[in-house]
Amino acid sequence: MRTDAESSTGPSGLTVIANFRERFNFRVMYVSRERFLRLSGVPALAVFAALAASGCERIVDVELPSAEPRLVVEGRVELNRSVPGNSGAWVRLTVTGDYFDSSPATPVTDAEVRITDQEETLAELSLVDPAEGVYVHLDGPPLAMAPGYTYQLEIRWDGDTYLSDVEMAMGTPIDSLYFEWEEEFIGRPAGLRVKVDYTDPPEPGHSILYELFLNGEPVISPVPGNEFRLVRSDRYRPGEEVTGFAPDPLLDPDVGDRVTVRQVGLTTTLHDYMLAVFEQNALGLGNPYSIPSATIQGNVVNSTSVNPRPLGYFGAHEVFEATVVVPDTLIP
Amino acid sequence: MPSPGTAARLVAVLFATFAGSEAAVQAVQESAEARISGYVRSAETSDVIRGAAVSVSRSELPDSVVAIVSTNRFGYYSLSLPPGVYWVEAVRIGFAPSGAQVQLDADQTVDLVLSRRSLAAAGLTVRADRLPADMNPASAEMSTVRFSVPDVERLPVVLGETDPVRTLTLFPGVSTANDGTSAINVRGGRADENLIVLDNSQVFNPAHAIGFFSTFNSDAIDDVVLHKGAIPARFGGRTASVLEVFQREGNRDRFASAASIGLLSARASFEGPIGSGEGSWLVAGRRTYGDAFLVFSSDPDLKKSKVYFYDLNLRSNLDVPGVGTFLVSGFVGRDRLALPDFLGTSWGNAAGSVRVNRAFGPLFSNFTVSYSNYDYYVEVTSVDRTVISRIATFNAKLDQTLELEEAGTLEFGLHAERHAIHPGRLESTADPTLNQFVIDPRRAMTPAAYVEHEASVGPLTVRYGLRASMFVRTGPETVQQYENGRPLVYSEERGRFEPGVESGMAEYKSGDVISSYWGLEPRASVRLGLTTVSSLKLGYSRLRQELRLVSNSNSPSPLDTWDMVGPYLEPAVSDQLALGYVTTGAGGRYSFSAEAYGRAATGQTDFTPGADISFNEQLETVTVPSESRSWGIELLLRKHRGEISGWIGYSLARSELRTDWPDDSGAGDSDIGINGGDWYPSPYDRTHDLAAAVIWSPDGLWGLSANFVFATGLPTTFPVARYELLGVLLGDYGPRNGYRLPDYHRLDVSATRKFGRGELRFGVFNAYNRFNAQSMYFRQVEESSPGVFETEAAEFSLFGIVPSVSYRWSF
Repeated sequence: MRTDAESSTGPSGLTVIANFRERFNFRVMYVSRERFLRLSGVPALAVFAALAASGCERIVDVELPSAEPRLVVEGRVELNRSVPGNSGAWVRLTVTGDYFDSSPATPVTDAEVRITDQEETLAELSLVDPAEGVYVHLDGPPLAMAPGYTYQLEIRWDGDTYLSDVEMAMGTPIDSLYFEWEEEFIGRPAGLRVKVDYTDPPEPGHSILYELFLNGEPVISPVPGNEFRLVRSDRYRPGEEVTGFAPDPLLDPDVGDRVTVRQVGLTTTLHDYMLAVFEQNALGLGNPYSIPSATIQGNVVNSTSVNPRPLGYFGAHEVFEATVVVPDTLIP
Repeated sequence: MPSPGTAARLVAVLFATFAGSEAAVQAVQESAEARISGYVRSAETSDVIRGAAVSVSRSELPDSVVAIVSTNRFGYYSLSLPPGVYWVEAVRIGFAPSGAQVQLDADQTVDLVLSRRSLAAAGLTVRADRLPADMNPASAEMSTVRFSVPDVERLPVVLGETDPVRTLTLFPGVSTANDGTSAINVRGGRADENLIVLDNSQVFNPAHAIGFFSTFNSDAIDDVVLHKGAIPARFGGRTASVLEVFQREGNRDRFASAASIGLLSARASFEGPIGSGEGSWLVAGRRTYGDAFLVFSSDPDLKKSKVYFYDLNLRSNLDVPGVGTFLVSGFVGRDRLALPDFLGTSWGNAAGSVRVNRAFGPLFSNFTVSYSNYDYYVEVTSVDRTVISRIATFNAKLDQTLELEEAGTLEFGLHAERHAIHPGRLESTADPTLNQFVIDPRRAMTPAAYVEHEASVGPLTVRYGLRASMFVRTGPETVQQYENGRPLVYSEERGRFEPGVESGMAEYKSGDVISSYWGLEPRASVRLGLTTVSSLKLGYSRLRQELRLVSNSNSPSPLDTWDMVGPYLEPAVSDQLALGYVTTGAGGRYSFSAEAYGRAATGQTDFTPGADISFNEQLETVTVPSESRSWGIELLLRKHRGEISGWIGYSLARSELRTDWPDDSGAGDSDIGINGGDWYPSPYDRTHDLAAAVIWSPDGLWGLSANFVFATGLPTTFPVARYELLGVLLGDYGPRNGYRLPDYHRLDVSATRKFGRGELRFGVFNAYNRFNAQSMYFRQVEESSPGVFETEAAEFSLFGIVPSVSYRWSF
C-alpha cells in the first residue's frame, strides 16, 4: 500500500497547557504512601491526619552541577489517515539547558536535517520556526508512507552526524469520540470528559500515544497516574474493544470548545520510551518509593563519536484523529 | 575437636536418632556419668529463656563451679557429670537467678524458673549476670543483635507502636532507606536479603501501612535475634542477614490477659495453661481503629472507604509424654485500603508452623513443618482491572542438636522447601472470568542439608559448618526464548539497554526441570579468649539466595512481587568476613564490642533506567546483573542493668553497587551500565550512623527513655541539565546516587507511669521537629504558564514532631 502524502506544516506551536496538574500520586497498579496518607487525612482520623500534616515537603535551593549542552531531537514521520493533509515529516531540535533556567529551550537553527525512506526518497527538511527549532518537510518528493515502512533520520550539526532508523508503527482507528459528564471524584473535580471508543487490532503489539488539542492548542496533563493514559499498550488485552476511555481525565472543556484527539501508533520500543518519559515527569512527586532518576536514552545516535550522546527520539507513526465540539446540552 | 572415637559415637547417635530409638541413643552414651537436662523458663510468662547460663557447682559458693552451659535457642540445656550432689543455677540478664539442689545418681530433668526482676530492683543486685551471647566474650557467636521486647518496649516509638524492627535500627549495621519503611538494610544488603523468621515460618513482607509499621505485634513477641554475619549453618536462602522473631509461649501457670490502646491501634492478648501446666497458649491481636470514625464522615466516598490493618498471633505449646513438646505457631496480618468505585487494595502475610521437639539424652531433636503465604491484590474499579499476586512456601525441616560434652555441640539437619510464586494475574474487576492475563506461576524445590560443630580448646572456641543447598525450578511453565539466549542486550551506539530478540517459547510440563542450581555454603567463627572478660572473634559466612523481591525503588513496597532464579537469573552469592573484639566491665554491667566487616555479593540485580517492572512477564528483558560490596566498622557500648540502661552504637560504613555486565570485548571490566559500570553508593549507604538509646527507671513507678540518631544523608541523584520533549520537561541526570541528602538527626523521648495494673505512656517522636529529608526531587512548577517550564527542587520529609499516648492494662 502506498499513500502519497501531502507536505504539511505539522503542529509547529508546541506550547503546552499545564493547568491540570494536581498533586495526588496514584497510578493504576500502585498506591503511594503519599496518597495513602492523604486519603487517610480526614479530620476524624486524628492519627493519620497528624502523620499527613507532618509528612510534608519544602522547596529548597540546591546548587546543581551543570553539563555540556546535548542535542535534543523530537522527530516524526506521520501518516495521518483521518486528515491526510496533516501527514508529513517534522523534526524539532533544541539543546539541553541548566535545570533551573526556565527560559525557553535553546533552538538549533543551523542543522542539516534529512529523512530517507526505504525507497531512497530523500526529504530535506527546512527550518520553519527558528524560535522553536522546528524543521519541516516542505519541498521535494513526498516520502513513501505505510505501516512497516522504514525511515532514516540524519542530522548534521556542530561537526557531528546523528542518525536514527525506525519503522512506521500501525495506528488504531477511533470508533467514536464524545463527551460525558463526570461527577467529582477523588483527586479530580467534576467536569466534562472527552471519551474514546476504539477497537484494538486482534494481533498484539499495538500501542498508542494520545495527543489532545483544545481549540487547536496541544494540551497535556502530565500528572502522576496519567502516564498510563498518555501512552497505552495492548499488552494485557490485545484485540479488546475499548469503550469510554478518557485520555485526559483532567481536561474540562466548556461549551463550544473544540477538542481533537489523536491516536498515534507506536512501536513497542517507542511505547516503552515514552512511558519512561511520562513516568519520569509524573514522578516529580519523588516519594521515597519512586524509581531512581535516570536520563532516558532514546533511539537517536551520534555516529561521529559516542559523546555527546543526543537525547530524544525519532518515530514514524500511522495516526488517526477525530474532533468534537462540546454541545450545550451536556453540562448540568 | 572430636576424636575418632567421638566421631564413631556420633555416627551411632545419628543413626539411632533417625531410627527413632531413644534406647539406642542412650546405649551409646558413656555410662559413668549421669545427665542433668531441662528447660529454663520465665516465671511470669512461662516462656523458655534462651541463652541463660546454667552453672553447676558443688555448693552455693561461687568458686566451686564445675560446669557452665548455656540454654540453647529452645531454652534447653543438657550436661553430664559424675554422680554427686550439685547446686544447679540459671542466670540471665533481667531475671533474678534461681537454682536447685540435685542429688545426681541417674539421668535427671531439672527445669528452672526465673522471675523477671523489676527494673528498680535490678540496680541493687550485685551478682554477676551472664551476658547475652553476642556480647559474651565466652561465646563464639558474633555479629548478632539480641534483645527481649519487654526490655526495650519503653523506648520511644512512632505513635507508641512498639516495633521490634524499629528498635533494631538503633543498633549499628542496621538501617532503613527512610523513616517510613520497616524494611531494614543490614551491613549494606538490600531489604530482600534478610531472612525473616517468625518462630519457624518465613515472613515475606513484614510491613503494615505501606511500611510504617512492621507486622510484629510487640505484645506477642518475646526475643528478637538478628544475625548480621557469621550466620549459623541452619539458615539459608538469603545473602545478608537472618532475623529471628520468637513469639511468646503463653503462661503455663495461670490465665492472664492484657489490653492496650494507643493513638493508632488497640490490642489485646490472652494466655493461659493447658491442663495442669503441660502446655500453654497465647492469642494476641491488634487492629487500627481509625476507620471506625469514617462512618461519621459527611463525604459519602469517605464513609464507604476502608483503611485499616490488623494482626493475629497464636502460639501454643504442649508437652506430650513419650512424644515430645509440640509447638504450634500462627500469624495472620493484613492491610486493607479501599475507596469506593475507585480503588481497593489489600495485602498480608499468613504463616503457620508445627514443631515437635524432643530430647533424647544429649540429642535435642526437632521436626518442623511450616507454611507461609504473602499475597496482595489491587483493584482499580475505574478501569475495571484487578491485579493479584502471591508467593507461598511450604517447608519441612529436621534439625538436630547433639551435646558432645567436651567435644562441643554438633548441629545438623535436613531441610526441604517448596516455593510457588504467582507473579500476577489480571482480571476484570466487574467479571473475574473475563480478560484474564496471567503471568505463569513459578515453582521450585529446594532441598538442603547442613552440619555445624562448635568446640572449645583452651582459650579457643571454634564453630564451623557447611550447608549444601539445591534450587530446582520446575514446570509447568512457558519460558520465553531469546536469540543467543540473551534477553537483554546493550546498544553501544544508543548507550542503552534494549530487550533481546525473542525466538519462540519453550514449554515445560509439570515436573520438568527448567533450571537447577546448587552450591556449598561454608560458615565459620573462631573466638580467642584474651582474658576472662575479653576476646577476639573472627567470622566468615557464605550465603546463597534464590528468591528476590522485584523492586526498583529505594524502599520495597507491599505491592512488589517476588521472583526466583531460573533460566535468565542466577543465584546471588555473598561472602562476609568479620573481625570483632568484645569485652565486659564492672562485673558484666557494661559490655563493649567492636567489629569490622567486609562483604561482597554477586548475582544481584538492578533494572534498566526507567524500566517498567510492575506486572511485567518478561522481567529478564529489563533486569541488569549487578554486584555489591560493603565494609564497615561497628562499635557498640551497652549498659545492661542498673537504674540507667541502654546503648550507644556507631558505624562507619560504605555500601556500593556496580553493574556486572559481561564484557564481550574481553578487555577487562566493562564500562557498560549504571554510572558507566563503575561502583556507586547504594541507596541506603550511610557513612556515619550513630544511635543511642537510654532507659532510666528511677523507681518502680516512673520510667523515662530517649533515643538519639544521627546519620549521614542518604545518596540521591541530581539532574545536571533539562530538556523539553512531548510537552513535558525532563531531566538529564548526573551519576546515580552521586549526591547526598542533608544529614539526618532526631531525638525521641518517652515517659511511662504505672498505676496498679495499668501503665500510661507518653512519647514524642522527633522531639525537636527536625525536617529530615527522605528524598529530594526535581519537577516542573505547577503554576507555570503555558509553554514555560519553571522548575524547582523539593525535599520530602515524613515525620515532624509526633506525640503519642497509650494506656495498657494487664490482668
